[in-house]
Amino acid sequence: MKGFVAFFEKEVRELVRTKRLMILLAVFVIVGIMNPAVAKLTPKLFELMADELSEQGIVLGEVKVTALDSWTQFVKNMPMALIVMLIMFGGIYTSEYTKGTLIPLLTKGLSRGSVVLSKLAAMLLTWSAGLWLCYGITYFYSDWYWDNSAVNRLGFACFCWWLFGVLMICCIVFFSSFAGSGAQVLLGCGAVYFAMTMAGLYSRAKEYLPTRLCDSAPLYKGELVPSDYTAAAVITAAISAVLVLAALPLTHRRQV
Amino acid sequence: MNTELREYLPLLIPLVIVQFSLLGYSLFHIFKHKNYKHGNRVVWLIVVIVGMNFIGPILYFIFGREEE
Repeated sequence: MKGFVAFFEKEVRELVRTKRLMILLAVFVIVGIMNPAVAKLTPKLFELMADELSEQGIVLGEVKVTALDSWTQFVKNMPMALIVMLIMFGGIYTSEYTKGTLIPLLTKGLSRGSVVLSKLAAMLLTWSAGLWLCYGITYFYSDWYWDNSAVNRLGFACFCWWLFGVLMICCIVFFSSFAGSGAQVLLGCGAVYFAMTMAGLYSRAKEYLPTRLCDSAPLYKGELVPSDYTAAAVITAAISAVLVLAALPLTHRRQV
Repeated sequence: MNTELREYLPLLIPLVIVQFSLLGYSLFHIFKHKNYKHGNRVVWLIVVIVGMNFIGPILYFIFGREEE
């Protein structure tokens, strides 16, 4: 436990000093502002394109923007922020293994379990802070310009996103236990996402796949209720736990 | 136009502040360091300035920043 706390502090300090935390939070803030900004600018863009479109025979009526458009942008932009975060964290374990910076600590008695878990905790902390910051900013602007009460289940939809992010972070932990470089870890995460998307083509499996959690639009519109997401949420949490539990013995056997 | 612009200001001001501070910091970082993980100073200056809307600085901090 002592090792975990000490190493966790080291991790947070590293995130701050290498400016990774600052950059990631800036990305989340920018995405948070962009969501309502894009929604707000949509009618203007249509106005600008109206001449060109009418030449092609498309006539646009008045475009009405609501808070729902802002939150649809949230769903569209969040994968980008998540990907930036995954790229930043892809090499968080492997760079330490390849550079051998862990050897002095491990020979002094720091357990490998603490290394794995404290890095995981630092990543989860960053993701939680970033996601909810982004959510808060979008929430504030959407309420400022429009009315959030037109959109349902905002908090729960964001929680689903959080859970999906946790799964991807646990993928990093798992692949890092045997991959040689950050690029390989990211490739593994990409393969997991690809496999989930492929499985999603089979419509019956859709309800149980973690990718379902990213599909917040029906939740916003009130077409689905949170209980429709329970199966996917439980499965996602279970997979995340299994990935971390599998990573512990694998890391133990790994040559550092 | 003036009132219309004022409507966008609450969105634009923080966005501009965040983006320019990110840009400013990455320029500062590039000039302070001689060696990069990949590429050289000119490449990174071009990338950061061309990809100003936060993509350039992020690329620099992921792929160009030297680990001390």
